[in-house]
Amino acid sequence: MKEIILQCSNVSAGYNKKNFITDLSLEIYKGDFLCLIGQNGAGKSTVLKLLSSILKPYSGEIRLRGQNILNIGHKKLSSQMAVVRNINGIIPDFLVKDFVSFGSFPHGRALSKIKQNLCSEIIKQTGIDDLSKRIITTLSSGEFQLVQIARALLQSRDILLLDEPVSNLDYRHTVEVMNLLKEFNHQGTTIVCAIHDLNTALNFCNRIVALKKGKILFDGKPEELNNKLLEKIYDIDFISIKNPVTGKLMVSPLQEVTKKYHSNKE
Amino acid sequence: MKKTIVFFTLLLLSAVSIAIGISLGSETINPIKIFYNKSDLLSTEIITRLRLPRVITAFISGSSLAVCGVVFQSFFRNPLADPFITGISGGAALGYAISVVLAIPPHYGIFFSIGGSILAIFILSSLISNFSGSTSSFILSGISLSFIFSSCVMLIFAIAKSESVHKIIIWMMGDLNSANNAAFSIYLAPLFILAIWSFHRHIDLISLGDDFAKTSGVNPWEVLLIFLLTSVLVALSVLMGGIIPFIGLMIPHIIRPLSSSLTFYSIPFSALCGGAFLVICDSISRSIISPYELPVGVITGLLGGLFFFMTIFRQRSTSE
Repeated sequence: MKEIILQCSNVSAGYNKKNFITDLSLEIYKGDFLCLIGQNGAGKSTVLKLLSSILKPYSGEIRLRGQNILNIGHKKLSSQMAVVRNINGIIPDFLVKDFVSFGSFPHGRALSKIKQNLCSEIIKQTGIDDLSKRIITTLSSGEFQLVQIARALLQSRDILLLDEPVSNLDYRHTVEVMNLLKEFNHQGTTIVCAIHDLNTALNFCNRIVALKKGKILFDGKPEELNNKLLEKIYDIDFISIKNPVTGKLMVSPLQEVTKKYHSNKE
Repeated sequence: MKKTIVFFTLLLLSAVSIAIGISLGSETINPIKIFYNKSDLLSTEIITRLRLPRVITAFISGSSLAVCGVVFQSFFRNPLADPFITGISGGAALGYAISVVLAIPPHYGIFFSIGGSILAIFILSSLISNFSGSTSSFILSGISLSFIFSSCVMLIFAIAKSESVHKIIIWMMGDLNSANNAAFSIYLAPLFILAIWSFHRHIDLISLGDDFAKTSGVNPWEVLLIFLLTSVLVALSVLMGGIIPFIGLMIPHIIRPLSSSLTFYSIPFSALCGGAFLVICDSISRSIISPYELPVGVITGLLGGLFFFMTIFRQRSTSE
């Protein structure tokens, strides 16, 4: 029996008193590498905001190891769970090593020898040693994503929530970021990420949750997904084949059939 | 290593500025001579009774404004935020003006001033959250708030017809001469600077956004506390020297490249630099049309305006 680490029970939530998520129940187990998929506006980011306590639910409860997350202090919660999201607006010119060290904030005082060692250890493990003296605003999107993940891992190796970690990245950096996440997942970190690229999700995660209009449409292993389900999730047609090398599912939307789909709908 | 050099350079700059501040005025006095020749009683009196308290007031007032600038620029995530542009010092001035008109003793006037700055900061925060926090809406909100507060002050003066109105108007233009109004501010302000500095890691995280700070472990009450400490510091600086523009805007910009943007360094560096800058501006204002005095706000406004232009031109040339 797997340990339930995060649990949403009958959660409804949204913005400006409008429901985006309705009656959502989801259990996340220790060691999951869970990808949230779905159309734009399906509620992926909202679920992540709920899990990280950025957004309060209108009704229902979210529990971390059985305790309601609204009753856990921000510091304690952040020491067990780290979030990686895009940072909008003006970003100060911090050095990479300083930015990564922000991850030690919920664990108490800064600048102690142990913390500095932990920080340089995580910088090594994530392979960003050569970036450590650069200024974060001069990094490429891919490099900055690795730096963000390093900071998050210093904050917590328990649970990592990531909102579209590879959305602006090229193939090489996508693989690099996802491989890093996979490696830490093997070491015991539970990972939940919202992702747009289906093939990336199918390649790396061990569980997929598909959302549509704030409700869960599918929750299962990647290999259980099929064309019909994908059509339901995205309202367009798909073809899928097995990757001859990895044996994993590969999917692609079908543009011509899509037209047929829409004309049939009309 | 680099930061140690910066720190000691700024310390030296502060010492030099204080020496200049003590020497310059309607009569130039060499402080070293006084040190060796204690028989020159008049010069000793001028220095210890008049110039030294004023120089110390200027230094602490400048430090406070610069530190407030660092905090506001991080909090509002806007490089243009400072106590003057955001209208927060305007709020403090309004509070103080009300206390003067109501003939409340200066010791209690501070509470009015603090109340004014806290009111301003909360109006501004709620305006920004309603306008999605873009730079233009931020500046417009701050400037309109500033105008509203200064109009209120004018209105109060128009109704009051008090004899002290002229003095207060000069004080609002930035005047360190009426500093004995709030002698206790000089003792309180450094304590508030230290208190704000102790939250340097919080301020770093807040500068990356509300959600970032929240998910990194910063509690909402800690954010509120830093906000309150800073608005009290603005009120104290307004009590010490009136509305002195641009220091809070300019100094953090000068310091940021030297401190790798970490608040741990930028607060003490800005405090030293801001203090030294205001002491020098004050010395210029005292000696430029001697024996008369210019309000120090005229000098900082002039230099700050030029700095603003330079920044805009530099930004344009880098973007082209």
